[in-house]
Amino acid sequence: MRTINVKFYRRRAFWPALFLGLFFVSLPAVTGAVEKPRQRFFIGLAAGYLYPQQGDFREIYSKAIWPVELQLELAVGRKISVFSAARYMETSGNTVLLFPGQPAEAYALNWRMATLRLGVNYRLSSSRFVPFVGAGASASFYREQWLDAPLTTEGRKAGFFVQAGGRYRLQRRWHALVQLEYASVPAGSGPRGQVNLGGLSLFLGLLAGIF
Amino acid sequence: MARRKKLKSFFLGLLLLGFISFAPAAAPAIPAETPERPLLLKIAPPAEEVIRVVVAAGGTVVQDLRSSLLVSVPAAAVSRLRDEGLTFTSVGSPAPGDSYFLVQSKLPSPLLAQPGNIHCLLLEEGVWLLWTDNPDFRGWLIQPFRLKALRLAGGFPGRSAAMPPRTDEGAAESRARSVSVIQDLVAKVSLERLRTDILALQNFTTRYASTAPCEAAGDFILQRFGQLGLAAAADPFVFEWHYASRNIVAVIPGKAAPEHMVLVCAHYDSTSNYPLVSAPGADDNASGTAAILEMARILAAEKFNLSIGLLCVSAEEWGLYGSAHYAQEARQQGAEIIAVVNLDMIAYPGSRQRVLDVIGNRQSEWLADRFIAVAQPYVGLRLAKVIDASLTWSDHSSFWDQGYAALCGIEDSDNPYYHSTSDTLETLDLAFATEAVQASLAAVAELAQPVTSLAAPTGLQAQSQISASLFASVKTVFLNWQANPDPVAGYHVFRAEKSGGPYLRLTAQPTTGTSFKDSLLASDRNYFYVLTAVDGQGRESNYSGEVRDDENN
Ligand SMILES: [Zn+2]
Repeated sequence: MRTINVKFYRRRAFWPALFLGLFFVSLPAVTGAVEKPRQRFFIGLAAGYLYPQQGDFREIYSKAIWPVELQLELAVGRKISVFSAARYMETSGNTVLLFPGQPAEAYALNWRMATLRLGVNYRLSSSRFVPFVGAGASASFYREQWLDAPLTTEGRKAGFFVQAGGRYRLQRRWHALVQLEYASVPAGSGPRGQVNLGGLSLFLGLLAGIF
Repeated sequence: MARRKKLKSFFLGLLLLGFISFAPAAAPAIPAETPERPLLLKIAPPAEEVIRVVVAAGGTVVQDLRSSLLVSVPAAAVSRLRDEGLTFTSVGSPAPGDSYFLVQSKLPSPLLAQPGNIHCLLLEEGVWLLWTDNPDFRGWLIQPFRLKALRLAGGFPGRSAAMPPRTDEGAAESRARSVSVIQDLVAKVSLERLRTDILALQNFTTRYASTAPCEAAGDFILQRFGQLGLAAAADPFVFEWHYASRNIVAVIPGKAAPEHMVLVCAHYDSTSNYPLVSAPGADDNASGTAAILEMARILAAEKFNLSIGLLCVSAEEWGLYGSAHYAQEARQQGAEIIAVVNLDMIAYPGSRQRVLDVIGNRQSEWLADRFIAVAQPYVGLRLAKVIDASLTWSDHSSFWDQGYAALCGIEDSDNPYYHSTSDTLETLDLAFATEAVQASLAAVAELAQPVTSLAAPTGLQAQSQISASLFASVKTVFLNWQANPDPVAGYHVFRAEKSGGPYLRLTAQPTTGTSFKDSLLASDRNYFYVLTAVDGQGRESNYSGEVRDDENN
């Protein structure tokens, strides 16, 4: 019943990141799409499917969760690139019962989480199809809200992730992205024990090389 | 005969004393410890946590005191207690054949002399532990003495959470009705009847337990209960190996919750400096016994929701044997005694202010508070609360030992005729005794809840559910009950966070169905519910029986 009052949507970190992202997305159009054989800086959008690692999470938020993500990536060497990403997900669910034999009482829930990710990718080749592996750290801002009861839990938790994927160059500038990721976000304890907000996710997306 | 025996033990004692004085100084009359025997330890402070550790180590609490606990633990468990950080001193290891007693004495020793087979140890101010294999040890005690026989095993393993009775607060109509009933009851207490009964009891010459006149006094009480139409019985017991006596008990069955009992008790046995010859015991405790008989007469004519037990015990003066027997059996049978009011010496206020002490231990403090709050308005004497676990010198202490809430009503004075052949009716103040009975009657009647015109609802059941999200959870409680046989307009539902209240009413208007849902409660605690019925004129019943939220899960 503890409520953590972190109004993360009003925090400084979220809106500048979004703003910056949108700015870079629109950059190619503004700059007239200067063609260079190889870009070092990419911006992209991806959407995916999350399979929460915790059974409680899957039980409570039984609907599929479709996160969307904005990515920025900068190659810092032939094989290495650093990236940052802002991800957002929202879903709804219902409370679960702790005493199965007793009369039921359910409450509708809403779940939102925004995650800022920072990491490093290692490219395994430099052909048209570029497989990569990567890892990094994350900061997640979440809010669980009971829709018909005055109960809201908000919080901010750090985590880590590992990922592997591939990138396929469609045109000079445009790349298709597929990415499989495992993330762990330990979030303290809940009514049924320790909570972890991470899981396995699969993303598909499109990247544009900017310069 | 007795004197020769005494002399013999005296010389034997002297001989042993000589022996002991040559023994190493480190053995101050404590029996040798052998590994298979349990150990008696004195542990401070007398905290719940300490009791838990002792019980977990396989020990039992022998006596709960003001500033310490006397516990019995298996010898092997001592290191475990030490590991748990408890500080204790070993009091010895009981040998087979040794009997243990608490003795009250403010003197440097409770003994006239110290024969080798009687051992004494000061536990705390005024409270001595005595152990002996000498059945005639009483001859060595300085008169007058107060004794409590200790049971080294079979006690209740620690204190119970005292169960406060259902309260009547908030139910305005029934409360008003209860108050008027109690007023009527209090007005019926008769000084003349008290006088007659005290005199009748005094006229048995002696009521020293183990004597025939004491048993005759028991028959007299049994007969009196019978004349009132009460179901009464003798409860025989054996004490100190070969003596026998009887408790006399009668019950006024409750109408709504007969399994819950308010017990009022007094010892009818007596003692003196010549107990076999003369022990009138008018104050101690014909006064308390007469109070029970008078309360029985008045209460038997009224109806109560809870049962009222009327208990006259014997062998109190030998060491609380009768009440210990009754309380232990009650605990073993799971008797739900919600409160015990023990009356012992209520007719000698002395020259000081007219004060009746209401003695409780920590677990019974609610009962002392309740007693005083209810009874004080009816009486001119002052009711003074005393919370002290070491005041074990009467039968309430036997109920404390079994985890029941109990108090003792006793005059706040030193009766100079105490335990003497001069403790007679002429020395008593019967007006004071009458008020003491009125106070007790009011409290007992209130605890037992006079039946109101509208029956309290029955069959209340509760189930609880916890609904959980990832980070939060709430409890929902589902109540249902039986429809009242009388026509009712509806029911009020009350909730408390502690058993026994105070209760908060949840229904603004009476609910007409026979179920109720209480939502959005904290999931990490328990709640307690009662109901009242309300009729078409807005009159409200007494509370129903209480249920815990998960009682029927
Ligand atoms: Zn007495």
